[in-house]
Amino acid sequence: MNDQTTQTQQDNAYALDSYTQDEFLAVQDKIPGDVVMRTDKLNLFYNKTKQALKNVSLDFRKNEVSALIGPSGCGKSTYLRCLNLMNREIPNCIFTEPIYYKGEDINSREADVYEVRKHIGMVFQQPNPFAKSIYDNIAFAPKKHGLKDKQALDELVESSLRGAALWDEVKDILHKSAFELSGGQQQRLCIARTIAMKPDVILMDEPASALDPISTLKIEELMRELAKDYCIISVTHNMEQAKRISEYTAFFYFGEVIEYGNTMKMFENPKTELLQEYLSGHFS
Amino acid sequence: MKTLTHEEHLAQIKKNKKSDKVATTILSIIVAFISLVLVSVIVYIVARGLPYLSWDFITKNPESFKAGGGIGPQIFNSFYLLFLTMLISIPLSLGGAIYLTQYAPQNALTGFVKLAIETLSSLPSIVVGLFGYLFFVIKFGWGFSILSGSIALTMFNLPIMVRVIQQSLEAVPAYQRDAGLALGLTRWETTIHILIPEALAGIITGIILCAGRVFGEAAALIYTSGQSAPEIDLLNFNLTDPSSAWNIMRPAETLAVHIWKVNSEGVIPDVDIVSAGTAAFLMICVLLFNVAARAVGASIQKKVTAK
Repeated sequence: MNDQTTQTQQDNAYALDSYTQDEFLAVQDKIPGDVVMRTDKLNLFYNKTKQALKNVSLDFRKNEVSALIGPSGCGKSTYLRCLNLMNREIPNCIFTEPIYYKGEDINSREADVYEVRKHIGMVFQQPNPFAKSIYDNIAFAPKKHGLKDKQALDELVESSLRGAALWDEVKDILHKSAFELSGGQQQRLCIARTIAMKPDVILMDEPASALDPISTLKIEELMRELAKDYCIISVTHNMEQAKRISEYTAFFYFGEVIEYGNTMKMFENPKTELLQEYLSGHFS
Repeated sequence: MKTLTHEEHLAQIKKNKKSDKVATTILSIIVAFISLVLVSVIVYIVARGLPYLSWDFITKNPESFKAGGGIGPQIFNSFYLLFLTMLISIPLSLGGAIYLTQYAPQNALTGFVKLAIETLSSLPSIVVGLFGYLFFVIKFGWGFSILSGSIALTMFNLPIMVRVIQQSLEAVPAYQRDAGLALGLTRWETTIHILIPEALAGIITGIILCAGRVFGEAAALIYTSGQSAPEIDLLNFNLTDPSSAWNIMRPAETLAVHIWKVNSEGVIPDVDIVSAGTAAFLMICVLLFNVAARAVGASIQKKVTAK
């Protein structure tokens, strides 16, 4: 019993610390939690010559929000777009190392990229609802994936909208165009659309940066709420936001992860000089 | 930068306003001039021909030597050729444009294909016509026929239609495509169900405008579908009978070719009347195509986006 307690305390200590990449590789399995996604020394090249990601090793666990931060062009969005293989749509973008989702390599020839994207959803910077009704924005993809039953679809639409804290605002206008919603509502609709796929992971690429402060707050609250069910990975340019929403933070700089670990620890007591400088606003 | 005093600042604003006004005035004059030229051409043609447009004129057969002939077969031929041309070119250009925008790898070959399409879209139509004459009429032995004509028209039409559809597809923001793919839809599903509906208004407008161009084309048809309009029977559905309207192997003079022919080698005494009337009819059809393009485009846009 006593041993177990010390073990837990030790695990907690791992969870509360921050690491350079080498340190992280040594302790990654000791950080408690259910690892959903992992990259192991991921590299990415554009046109075979320009390296945009260098040996990025990170873990993402269930029920946690992880923030990816760093100056513009540091590779944080590029990294995010590897996790659901969206980078495969970009010509001459090459990344070959395995990307593990629940222990399975999704970046292999055998893996079905379309199946992968059902499990790993994505919300973009710009709210991008389809030119369809609110209802169809959510029901469209499940229908294409084979869900035909009207009642099941209705229920899915409602539960997804409730999950995205949008139901009360739109329940009477489900068949109106999604473009009639405000920017913040559109973004929550996009989140609802993603939830409707019943994913395990939700990737978010600066989901609130195109929104006003009140909508931003709503999205942040929603992210905290979603963390109860999903593994959330979010790029953010706003360090206060990273502090508010995330348990873990990865600091990217020129394609490398300089420091990764507990968000509070990293912001209050950064280990590396680069992160210190970044946090004090020497560059952004 | 030096700081301005309040007076200097006001002077600056005044100056900016003035130059803005001058530029707007000049541009308005240019636009007014262009509109005037175009409107007067249309008004002139329609006003000259309109008095001769009677039910008789648009339904009767043409005369070879006497006055008083009509343009009935030419009207039918024009629409029939247009229909067949669109039947061939819409699927081809949709397919081509989808491939070029969604699937084609960015390499030298794709670049060459795009260049070829651009070049072909500025190919003089008489060249297309002569090619069609040598290839379809002579080499394939199809003779002066609707088939030769509609394939020549397809060649004339295809490059522009591909480009119009390509531009409509490219105008859909990239993040719409990302949204579809991120939901696990395939590229094909994303293209068909997300990109095409959003581009539909542009695509349809483009297609109708192309239809107007095809409808008024003469040079590509003179040596392919020919300059003779034999009497035709709309109710004869025997597709091999030369007098059947629907036979695609018969020669078929269109409205535009008819204008050219009566003016260049016509021996009828009422050349002026026939050509003015035909021109007015052709012009009205093309105008209607354009009005329809706008109306259809706008209503589809409304339907697709604000359901």
